[in-house]
Amino acid sequence: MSVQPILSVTDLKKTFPDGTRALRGVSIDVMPGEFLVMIGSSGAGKSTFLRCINHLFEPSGGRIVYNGSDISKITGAKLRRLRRELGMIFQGYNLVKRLSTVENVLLGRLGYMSSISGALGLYSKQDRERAVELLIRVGLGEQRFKRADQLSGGQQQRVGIAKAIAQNARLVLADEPIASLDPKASDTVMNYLHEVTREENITCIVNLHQVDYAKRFADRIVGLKDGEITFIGKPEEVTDEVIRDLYGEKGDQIDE
Amino acid sequence: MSDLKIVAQDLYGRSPMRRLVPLWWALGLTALFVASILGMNLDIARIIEGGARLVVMLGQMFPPDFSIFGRIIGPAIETLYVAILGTFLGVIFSLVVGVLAAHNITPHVTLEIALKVFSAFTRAVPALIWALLFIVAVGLGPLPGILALAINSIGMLGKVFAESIEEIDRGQIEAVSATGATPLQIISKAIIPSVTPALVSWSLFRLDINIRYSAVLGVVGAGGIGLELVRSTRMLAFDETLTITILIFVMVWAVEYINNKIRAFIR
Repeated sequence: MSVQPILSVTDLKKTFPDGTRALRGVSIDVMPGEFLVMIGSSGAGKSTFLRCINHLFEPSGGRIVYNGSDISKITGAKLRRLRRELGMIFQGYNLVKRLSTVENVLLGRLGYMSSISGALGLYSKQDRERAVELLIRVGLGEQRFKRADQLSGGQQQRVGIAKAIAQNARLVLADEPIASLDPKASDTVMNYLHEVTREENITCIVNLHQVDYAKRFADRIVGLKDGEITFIGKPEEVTDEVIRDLYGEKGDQIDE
Repeated sequence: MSDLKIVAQDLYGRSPMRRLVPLWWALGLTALFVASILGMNLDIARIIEGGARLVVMLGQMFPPDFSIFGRIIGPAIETLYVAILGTFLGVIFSLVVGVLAAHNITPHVTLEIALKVFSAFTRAVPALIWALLFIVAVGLGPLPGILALAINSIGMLGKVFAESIEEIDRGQIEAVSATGATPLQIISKAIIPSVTPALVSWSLFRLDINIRYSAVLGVVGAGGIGLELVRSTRMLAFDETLTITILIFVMVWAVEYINNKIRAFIR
């Protein structure tokens, strides 16, 4: 019996109004529980790919099947129901800066609440307990009543991870989660992201700049170049040649 | 090395005409000033004569008559109430206007434009004129004052609220909508928290403005201390005028002082 992919993308295309063809037909199957890392230079379309999946960008063409149902064109309540199962982690953290750390985690519960009770912030006791638990799990239990903008970048990103888990996300889309962090914070964040999603059996698609991190954590690596997949394989299959192809002659020197 | 010849233009700018730009402004403004005086037939003799009367009036102002305090405290409090209620109503409606008119979250551009035009109109018409209109509509008393301040406030607050929302970092809104939140939840959990300092600060500033307006609105019959002020001048009871003026000053100053404290607290 073969396992069904949790996400199956076929010939995904995205052209922006200004004519930029960010995705030129991307096809990939993501298996449940997989930790998939996408690498590629800036502008290769990694971010656009993730944003098409949860419809922060509307895809221009192609088919996206999540958990057996076509989500290529969903809107409204159906889209919200999809989104609550897709956790997203951003390069810029994107926490609501003036809310407390714990409330930022609780924001992950909004999709499960009625519009009004969510707007009023009437989170259940159970949700609150879970949020605190999750913060403790990412090492931020002590910080839970601090305002989000008082946390360091690495801490904010860990709140992002806790929020995605609070959502009961089945698939986490992490868009350059460590691009703005120093090496030590990057390590911590990647470790937590990997560890927590492994424990909860959550599928993860992570966009990364850094090939070394990709090799360290990925089950499978996808190389994206000019809106097309040019490489799919195991971390050990990522040779210098593959990297040169993705990033140009500079090889590992990948910042631009 | 080529022999670079430095001429006056290189040192002072492009042309002598442009160099004298401040002078043209000075001449232009002076001309405007003179034209305005001539246009009004201002009589210097009258100004001097008026000065003499002013001295007499000032003399009659002192000492201020504090015995009327019991009589004017009621209208003074009414003035405060008018300002507070006007501001409250204004803030509530401005929130709705601001959310619907902010370019990044408006349900439709047509609505955005309509609301922006609406608030431009309500702020272009002065509070005093709104008061006169509402007096015709609902009669004398504090009610027209409240309505006038409310609608005039919408003009200003609706605009600044919308602008504050437009300045929010897009990422925060995106992140909350990516959790599957409804539009109402996004407004309450991403947008309102982000604009709270601006919201509070502008609302308090508006309260400040409204207290001043409210003191004046009484003059046209929209309730409050303004009426007492006019009555005292008509009766030439300038000692009472001074008392009322002091009271207005204290009210305005107190509100400004409290506002500054609150604004410093909320960041």
